[in-house]
Amino acid sequence: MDITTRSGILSLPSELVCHILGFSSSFQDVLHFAATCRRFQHLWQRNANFIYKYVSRTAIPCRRYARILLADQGGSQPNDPLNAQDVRQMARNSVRMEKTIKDIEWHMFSPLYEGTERYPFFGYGSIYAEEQWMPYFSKSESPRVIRTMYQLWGLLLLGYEAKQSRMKSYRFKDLAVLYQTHSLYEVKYALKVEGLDEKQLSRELKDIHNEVYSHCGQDIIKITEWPRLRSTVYPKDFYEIVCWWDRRYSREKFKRMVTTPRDGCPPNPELWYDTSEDELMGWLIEPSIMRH
Amino acid sequence: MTEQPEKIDQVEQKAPTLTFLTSDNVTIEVERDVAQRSLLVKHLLEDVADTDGSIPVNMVNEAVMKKVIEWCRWHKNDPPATGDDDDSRRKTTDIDEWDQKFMQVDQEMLFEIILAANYLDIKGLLDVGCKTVANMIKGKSPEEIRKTFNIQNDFTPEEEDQIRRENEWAEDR
Repeated sequence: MDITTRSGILSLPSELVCHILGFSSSFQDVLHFAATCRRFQHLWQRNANFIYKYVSRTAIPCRRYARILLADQGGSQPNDPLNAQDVRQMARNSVRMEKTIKDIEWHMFSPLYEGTERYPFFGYGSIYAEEQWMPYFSKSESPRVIRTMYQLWGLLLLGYEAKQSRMKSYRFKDLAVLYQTHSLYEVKYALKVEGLDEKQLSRELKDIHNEVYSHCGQDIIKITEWPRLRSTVYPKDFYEIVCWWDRRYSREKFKRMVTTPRDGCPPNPELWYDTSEDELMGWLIEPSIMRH
Repeated sequence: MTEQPEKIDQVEQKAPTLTFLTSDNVTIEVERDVAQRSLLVKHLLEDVADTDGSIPVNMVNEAVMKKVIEWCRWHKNDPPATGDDDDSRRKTTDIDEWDQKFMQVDQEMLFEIILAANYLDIKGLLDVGCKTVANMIKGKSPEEIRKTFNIQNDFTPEEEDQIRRENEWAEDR
């Protein structure tokens, strides 16, 4: 008697196999498992939405933005159930995000503790080392960048009117991060790798830049030029991207500048919305954003 | 002559007890509060106040039942399990040290424990079993998973090739 048939994983009913897959920490594991035999491939195809619900919590940061991008890519709408192809596409998008985050971290942080000719202020003993910057994004900085990339990627896929409408739905906080992120080499590279034509990409990014600038560019520039923010320690090339950082309380400063009336800054509290870490990671669904 | 069930695993305390009759015709006596980690048993006791006879557990043999009781006894003071779709159950794939040691059994026993936990409706034990299997899958290629669980590859070469192409993006991480 084949012991596997009697008491191995193949003896488990499908609901229990799904329960097991729901504890996976990545979709790669799920896909590898599904690639072992026909039964598990069919099980995955039939239960992708259920498995997504659980695995995506750890595997896909900024889920609600990931769902909007999926819809922009022609997949299921944000509130509809997902099929296996949708989930595969989302996992793929998410892997691209992870890689881009690593690329940005490498570009941004690698000279931090080393000290180079280009970055004479870095290195051990420098103010940067004293600040105890860790050479990677914090738990909330990383999803902030990912969220922006999802938004940017989606905008590039939309037609003119849909793009205008989408951008109108963004608040100042989103636009500011978008404005400060869209031109990064790593972001452009990621979008190019995902099949966007280079020339078209440059044109579209320029359009988005102009569009954001016309909405709030002056305000963003005023904020980034605020002396107290500029004097805050950031890695060179990135210090202007004030909207990213949590460190040295810059996020709180940024929020205060946006929401508090003062010279030269937009004083409207409605320009801001707070985002909890859970929300960034996709735990909460906000229908008003889902519909865009 | 009818074979008499063998009585084993006497409990030391004089706490109220229940008796299970396993699929291999063995009776096991267990404290009521331990047995009630199983929602199946708990609900049964709520419906039938006096259960003098043995509770048959036709799906579970003696060896597996003893393991299940061992887990229930260790976890008898844990907070009671909540609903089926309890999101917090899935928030972590970590397994505590005692449970990890408890789950160091052969695969046959592991899957029997999972089936028993599901049948007896012991959510905590079911989750620990499933997390253990998920950890065995983690980071492995399809071929490695096949070897681990003795799964036969029944795809045609064309099907396998198509799946490989669909998942290509996931390989280069």
